[in-house]
This record gives sequence, C-alpha cells and structure tokens, in this order.
Amino acid sequence: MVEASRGEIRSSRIRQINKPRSISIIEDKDRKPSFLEYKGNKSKVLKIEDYWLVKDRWWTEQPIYRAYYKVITVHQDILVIYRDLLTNVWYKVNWY
Amino acid sequence: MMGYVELHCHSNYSFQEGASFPHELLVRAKELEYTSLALTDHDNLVASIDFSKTANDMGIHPIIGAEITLEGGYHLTLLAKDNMGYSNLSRIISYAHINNGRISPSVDAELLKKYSGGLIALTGCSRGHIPELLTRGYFDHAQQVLIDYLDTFGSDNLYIEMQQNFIHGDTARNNLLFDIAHQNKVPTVATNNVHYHVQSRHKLNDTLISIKNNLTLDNSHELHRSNDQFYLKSKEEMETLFSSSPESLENTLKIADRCNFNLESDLLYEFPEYITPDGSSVDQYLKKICERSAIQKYGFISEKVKNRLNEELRRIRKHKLSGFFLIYYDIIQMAREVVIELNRGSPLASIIKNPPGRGRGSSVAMLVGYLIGLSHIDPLNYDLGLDRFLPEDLNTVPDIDLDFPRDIREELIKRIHLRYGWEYAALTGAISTYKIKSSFNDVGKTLNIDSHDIKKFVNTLSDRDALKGIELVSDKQYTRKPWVDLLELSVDLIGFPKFLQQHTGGMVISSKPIIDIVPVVPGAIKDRYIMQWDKDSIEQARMIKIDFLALGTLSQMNDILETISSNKKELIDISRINFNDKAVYELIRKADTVGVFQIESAAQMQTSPRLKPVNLEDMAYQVAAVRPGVGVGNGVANFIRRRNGQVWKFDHILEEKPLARTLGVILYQDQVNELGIAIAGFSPKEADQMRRDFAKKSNLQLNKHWKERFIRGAIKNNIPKQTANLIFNKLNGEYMFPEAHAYAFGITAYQMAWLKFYYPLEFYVSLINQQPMGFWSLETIKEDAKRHNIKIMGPDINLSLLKSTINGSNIRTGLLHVKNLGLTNSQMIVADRERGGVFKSLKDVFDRTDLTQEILVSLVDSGAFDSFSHSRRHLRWEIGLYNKAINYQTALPLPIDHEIAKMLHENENEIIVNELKSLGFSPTGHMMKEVRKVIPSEVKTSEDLRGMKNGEKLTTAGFVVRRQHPRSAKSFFFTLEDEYGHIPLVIWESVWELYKNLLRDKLILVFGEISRREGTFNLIVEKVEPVTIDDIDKYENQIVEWR
Repeated sequence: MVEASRGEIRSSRIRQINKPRSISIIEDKDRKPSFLEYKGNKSKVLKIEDYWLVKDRWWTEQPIYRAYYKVITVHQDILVIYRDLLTNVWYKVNWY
Repeated sequence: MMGYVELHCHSNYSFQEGASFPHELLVRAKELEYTSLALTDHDNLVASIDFSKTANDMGIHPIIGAEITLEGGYHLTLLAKDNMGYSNLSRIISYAHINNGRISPSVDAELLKKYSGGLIALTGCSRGHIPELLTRGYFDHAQQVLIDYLDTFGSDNLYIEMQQNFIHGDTARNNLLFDIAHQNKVPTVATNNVHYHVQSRHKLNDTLISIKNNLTLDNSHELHRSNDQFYLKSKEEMETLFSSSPESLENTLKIADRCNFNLESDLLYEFPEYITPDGSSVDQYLKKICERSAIQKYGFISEKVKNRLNEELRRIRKHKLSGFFLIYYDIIQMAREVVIELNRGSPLASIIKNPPGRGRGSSVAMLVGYLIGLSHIDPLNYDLGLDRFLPEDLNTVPDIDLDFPRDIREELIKRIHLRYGWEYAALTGAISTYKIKSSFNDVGKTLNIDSHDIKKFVNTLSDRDALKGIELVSDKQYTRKPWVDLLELSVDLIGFPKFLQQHTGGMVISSKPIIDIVPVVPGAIKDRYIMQWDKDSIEQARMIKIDFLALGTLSQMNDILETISSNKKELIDISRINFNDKAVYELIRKADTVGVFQIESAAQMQTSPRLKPVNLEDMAYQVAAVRPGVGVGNGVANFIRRRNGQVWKFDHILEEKPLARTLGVILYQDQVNELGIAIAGFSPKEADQMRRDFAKKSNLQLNKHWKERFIRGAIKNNIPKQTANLIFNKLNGEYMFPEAHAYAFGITAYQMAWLKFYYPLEFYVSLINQQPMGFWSLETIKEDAKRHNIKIMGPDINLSLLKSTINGSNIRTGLLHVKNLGLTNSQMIVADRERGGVFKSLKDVFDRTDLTQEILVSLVDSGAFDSFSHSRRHLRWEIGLYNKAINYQTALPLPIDHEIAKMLHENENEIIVNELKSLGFSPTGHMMKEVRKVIPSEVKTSEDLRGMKNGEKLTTAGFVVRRQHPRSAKSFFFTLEDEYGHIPLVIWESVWELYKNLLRDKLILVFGEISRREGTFNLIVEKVEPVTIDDIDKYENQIVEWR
C-alpha cells in the first residue's frame, strides 16, 4: 500500500508549470526577432519557421493577444517565442 | 499586381458561424475593389438571391457556392460554374438534408459524384478531408481522396485550397498541400475562409459559436477560431501571405471567370402548366368557369359584369395568366374538400357562395377572383380598380395571398404536398432573427451573466435604447466588463438570422423540380418540406408563391357565423353586408373596437376617433396609418390634420402622382417606390430594390449609396438638390402596409366591427373561444363585454360545455378555460354528465371522475362548484379530505362529515384572485373595485376622466394592460384599466426616466393632465406613485401570471 503523503495539500503550493519566461530579443525593422539571448548566449535567428497569432479571452480582464514565432538559431536550437502584443514583452514557451 | 477575389466566404446565414450580413461583405468587397465575390455558407443557399441581387446592383460579379459537409464531418467548398452546377449544388444540399435529417446534413461520395456536373470544387478549410489527413500525417490516404475527387469533378474542376489565417499549423499544412498539389499536377487556390467583413466582428463570431454550442465563452474557447484573421482581406494582404505561390492568387480570378452563372438572370423556374379537363385552352376554360359562376352569383350576366369580366380576361390572356388562376381554382376546390371533411361547411354550399378562404392583398380587386372563389368581395360593389393588381404593363407575376381558418390551412398544406410531391411543391422558408431580448439573453449567457441580471438590465432599456446600445447607458456598472461586451455584441446581433423555419403558409408549386432551383429541406413538422429561401428571396426570384395563411380572425368569423346560424337560424353572407353602415362606422369612431381585427390596439383606438372613417377607403387608411413607417416624420398626425382641412402643399409638383391620394403623406409601402420612380427617375425594379435596402440592418453604406443615386436622379429631373434631400428624408425602411393589403384588411376589420355591432353575443363568445388571439387579455374582453351588457359567467360543472356557450343574453364559460383541466378531462366530465346525469356534490364528482386534487382545486377556484356550496373555502377543505387510492384497491367509503369544518366565506378579494389564477379572468368582478376601497377617495376613475376638460389635472390609478413605445415616438403609451374602462396614458421620455422602475409595476397611481384633441383624450403623466396596500404583491403575482 502506498503511504499517505505527509505533506498537507495547500492551494498555495500549486504553481503553473511550463510558465512562459520573458526573453530578451532584438527585433529587426519589421519587429521580427533577429537575435535572442538564450542560455546566457546571444544567438542569431537563422530562420523563422512558423508564425502564428493568438487573440483570445477578449471577454475577460486579461485578454490574450500574442504573435508566436517558431525560430531556429544559428546554434540549431528550435525555440517558440512570442511577443505579447498588448505589452510588447517577449516570452519563450517550453514548447517541446 | 496579381489580383485576388475571395472564393470562400461565409455570411451570417451560415447560422452561428458567420458574423456579417451579405450586404456588409459586399460593401467591404467593393471598398477593396473586388470584381467578384463568392458566397459559400454552410450547407445552404439561404442568402443566395439577396447576395446575387445586391452584388449585381453594386457591380460585383456574384459567385454562388456552399461549403458542404461530407460524411465524417469533412468540409468541401463547391462553386457553381453554370446552370447545371447551380442545380446540382441545390440537389446536393437538398438530399444531404433529406437523407440525413434537417439538423445534420451529410453528403456521401455517391451523391457527390452523381451531381458533380457544372461544379468547381476547392478542397476546403483545415476541416477538409485532404487537409485533415495531411495534418495527421496520412499522406497516402490524402492522395487517395485526391484521386477520388479528381474522378468526381475532373482535373479541370478541382483545386487544392490553401488558407493562411495565422493559426498554428497553417504554414505546415500549406506546405503539405502545396506538395500534394505539385505531385498530382492539381492547381492550388488561395482563400481566406472569411467569416466576417472586418476584423472587429471576430468577437461576435466567437460569441455565435458559443451560442451555437450552448456554452459560455470561457467553456468554448477551444471551439473558436483562435485569432481575428478571418476577415475580408485586401489583394495586397493576400499577395503578402501567398507571395511564394502567386498562381494560387491568379487562380482565384480564373475560377471567378469560369463561374458564369448569375442567379438573378439565369433562374429556371416555371409555373406548372394547367391541363384542362375538357381539352379546351386555359383561356377558354377560365372564361367558362367565370361565366358559369357569374350566372350562379348574379342570376344573369349584366352589361356591367360582362364588361368588367371581359376586360379582366383580356388582361389575363395578355399576361398569360389563365393557367395561374386555374391552379388557384384547383387549390380552392381542394380547400373546399377539406372544409367538408372537417365538417366545417355543407357539401351543398357552392364555392361561389361560401368560399373556404379569402384573398388578401390587391387580388380582392379581381372579379375573376371573386367568381372562382378566391375572395369574398365583389369588386363591382366597391368600385375597386383593376390597375393595382393587374396593370396593363404588369412585369411580375401577381401575388395572391389566401387566408384560411387555422385547422383548414393545416390540412390543406398536407394535401398539396401529397398532390404535387415534395420536389414540386414546397413551403416557403422564413428566417427567425435575433430580437432585442433574445440577443441580450443569448449573449449574456455566453458571458456568464446571471439571467436575472440580464432581465433586469433589459427591462431598463426601451427598444430604442437597446438599438443605440452603449451610448445611452449611464449607469457606471454597465460600462465595465462583462456589461460593456454584452452591450456591444448584443446590439450587433439584433437582426441576425437565427435559423431557418417554415413560413406561416407560403408555398411554391413548380412544373420543374424545385430542388433544381433552391434546396428543399425537411421541416420540423413531419411531412413538411421547406425551401431554403424566404418570401423575399422567392419574390426576387419571380417565383409564384401561394400564401395559405392562418388568420385567427377568420376562425373567429367562421365561429360567429356558425353560432348565428345555429342560435338565431340566420344565414349571413358576410361579403354582402352593407359596407356603408353608419352605425358600424360610429362604433369604430367611438373606438368601441376591443376584439375587432386590426383596429383594436390602443394606438388604433386613439386614431379612429380622429380619422373618422366613413367608407372602405377610409378603413384602408385606418389600418395602414398606425404603422411604424407612417409614424416616422409625424405621418399619422399630418394625414389626419390635412384630412380635417389643414392647408398643405407638395414639396415638388412631381410628388403629386405618388402622394396626392394620401394628401402628401407616405401611407403605403408602394409610395416609397413610386417616389423613387417619380422623383429620381428609377426603374420600378431599382425603386423596389431601394425600398428593400432601406429595411436592411446595418445599412448605412447602402443608404448613402441610394441617397447619392436618388439626388443625382432628382437633379436630372430638374429638382433642386435641397428639395431632393427633403423628399429623400421622408423615406424610411420601417414597416408599412402595401396599399392593396390595407384594403383587404380594412374590409375584414369592417366586417368584424359589423358583427360586433349587430351580433355582440356571438362576437364575444367566439372571441373568448378563439383565445389566445388579438391584442387584449381575457380579463379586458370580459370587462368590454360587461360594458355591452353581456355577463361572462364562470364555468359550472353541470352546465358548461367544452367551449364557452351562449346562455340567454349572457355567456357561460367553457370547461376548457379552467387551468389544468385540459381537453381529455373536460370531455370526460361532459360525457359522464350525459351518461350519469348531473353531478350532485363534490363527492359525486370525485367518485365519478379521475380528476386529481389539483384539478379539483382549480375547478373550485373557477367557481365551477358554486352550486354545491356557497363557500369555495369550504369546498377546498373538503377536497383535502378525499384521497384516491394509489393502488387498484377500492377506497373504503368512510364517512367524513365529522371532519368538515365550518369555514368563513372568502372575501371578494380572495375570490377574484383565485378566479384569475384558475381562469385568467374573474367572472366575479374587477380587482380595481377592491383596490379602490383602500386608496384615497380623490383618485379618479376612468368614468370620471371622460367628463373632464382639457388641461384639468388629476390623480388616477389602474392596472397596466398595455405598454407601447413605438420606435418613431418620443413617448411611451400605456393603457390603464379600472373597473369602468380604460385610461390612455402618454409618458414623455423625461418622465419615463424619472419613474421607470415604478412604471414596471402592474398597478400604478399617476398624476397628470388631461389632453383632449379631435375627439380623443389622453392623460399626460407628470408623476407616478406606487400603490401601497397590504396584499398588493399577492394581486400582482396573479396578474403577472395571466396577463
């Protein structure tokens, strides 16, 4: 039999997983990402493989309006990042 | 510049899947300089005619298509290249519904293959079969489906559809679609899967999807399209999106060029050919029937009849309409059979003397119509001209509407389906649209707002406030979310199509299958088939629609005539009554018109004493005047003043022809067209399109377009621009009666008034038996009968029949009026009474019937057992002592006498309240009589008011029986009822704002000033107070229930 956990379940201990983290991006003249700081390094974006837009939850006090980019860096890292179009802050998503 | 046109475009007729009207899409397409636009609603062609016509008017080439649902739920976009393609599309949609049910249409491969001719197929959105298989990685399977499509449509008619809406997955899917197209040498085409004309409507589209799925926005957001990119994009935007595939843009133009079918000009409809039984020509046969009928009707054919008949038959021949009239003749014969089978008429009575239905509209002017049984009205008696219905230059097929009593109409529709088959005879569709309340309620649910809060909010808005939406809401809480969204979205949603339903009775009969012209789908009622076009589309398609309408007043009229016949042994030919009877016009002028068709509303009652009708022409004015479109610009008041001698002149002499007959006021719908023709030089077709566009919602751009054209045309006619502006501003899109319709209804209104004047007893008993119908509640009808010295007595368990009946000079309420009793129980009571004799006591009723305690209480409350005891309270107590065994064992007949308590009698308040609860009216009295005992003695009655002078101030009180706020008016109109009659109130908007919460109460006390004009009076309300008496809540609850 599995023993009951000694820890008491409390809502304060619940946290969002895969929470997007802000990321530092250098944009080109079209506001697309051209460089990003990742793992302490500044990496050039080699290719934007995909781009999509999300506009959701407009009926709430926290609407979502984001431009997503799937990019490949010169280091061959594949990342999904997005620009929050309401705040203009960039975030990295743990996509894979 | 490559160019682009949109080939995949949904309007709001995709029903909860599109957020723009077709005309909004077209206006935007024009701004974007599109040369063509396709309409591809989901599984329907509902908006196809309106779309085609508006597009043609705007110089845009309309392409008709649909996004159909295949087996497995996959989508496929189909576009009609030519006539055959359009017919096949219509057939595909029809069979998709007929074979799989009206809610879940589905097209199988066999059906698709059978009707693929003349169609171009695009492989669909992300829910297309090929795109979906590719997304899931099944390339080979997708390849097979592509081969099947090629086999079905041919390589010239299939395109791989690519869409880039910036949804995650679009890019990858487009790459795969491009590969499969390339490998199979199939051309690609770009579309944007448009669901709204501008980006801002994406919110409404999301909301509609939530409404469709009956979910909140929170719980359905995975069903929404995840951004706002499904709008009509410019060529430049599309060129940017598809810069790597320019041929997919060029192909949109190539496809548009190949789709040459134009619904407006290429329709295939033909009215059925009539085969005469004796082999003569249709012209000869119609003449023969008419002459035979004329002899039956008049005894001989006078010179006057002969001349008129010859002239009508000449015009009928000229316009090749003999067959058309003979089809109607057949339908009337069929209706006659139904009448006889339903025991509603004698088989011996000829159609000539006793037609089963009656025409409405301008057809009543036809002697031929009168002779073949289409109408009750002899046009020669009333000098009705022929030119309105059958002018020399007639260029459309005339429209004949037939009114029938409800039961006859139901059966007749079934017969026609049977006679012609559903592919050749189908019912007209009707579009249910979002109204103010349903918009707010449905949007409110998606925003998760409590329904009580929505109701409370909606009640604070007048119709006009709701239409103007957020601008008028001053309360701060409504300027925050979610209220701000509720307002914005609900206002946009008003007028949107909700679903397709059956029109009240319109049918189309065709010599070619209707499904080649418009999809036909099963109706909600078994064995009924509905076209996917509403009456306006059918009219625009120049199809001949036969309207079988159920008119409650005809059922009432039939009842009255039958009752007179059985009660007084008098046979009345209602078409041959005196239509110039001064006494009847006096009744109308006194506004003694409760229960009289068309002229019983509070607004009509205010108008008739001022308009003072004296003949049938005036009756037409009377019924036409009180319409929203006439009210705009103070039309009714102007008309009445001018009629009563006020000096006036036209703004321009060219107004004379269209407006002289109505003293310069636009009273009839037809006059909007006539002004367009006379002032702006429009063709009749253009003028009619202008009138239709005025009535459309969100039509600012369209109106601007018409205004420019109107003024341009007027200037060409040498009318100064300022005058042209003045005349254009008189036009509006609010509802008005067509002139002929006003005549037909005016005549019926007069006939009902005649019956009320000469046969009030039969009139009231029929009115009561036909409820619910008309404008007033049973309580108001009862009070009105009382003013005519007719008492409506409550039901009696031993005297009442099922329906109400005449009892001496009074009326005995029928058992069917008792709440909870129903038809079966009522029949059981009557049958048991006939079998076992009268009921002797409550116990006797209990023992001999299966009535539940609840029903027995309802009968006690109605007064049905008053002959057993003077105390209804006592009877209710007694019911509590009886209990039916729940098993089959017979209950022991134990004595209960010792348990019967001596009860106090109920007071009149309680009796009235319980009667209202049980019957919807109180035979005992009026609640106001009781209320008056506890309110200040200076409160005036309606009787007092009648004798008061203009300008006198007073306080009065009563129950609110009607509230109205016409869109064109700046005030609210209420009707108060007390124990003596009615008090009309006028409440200006400023006063309404101050007292709107109190004015929602049922019982109110008001202070105001008498305003008298032209024989009518109103009380102009200045102040409103609540009536504070102890039991008022109890009264109000009951009233709310029965009002």
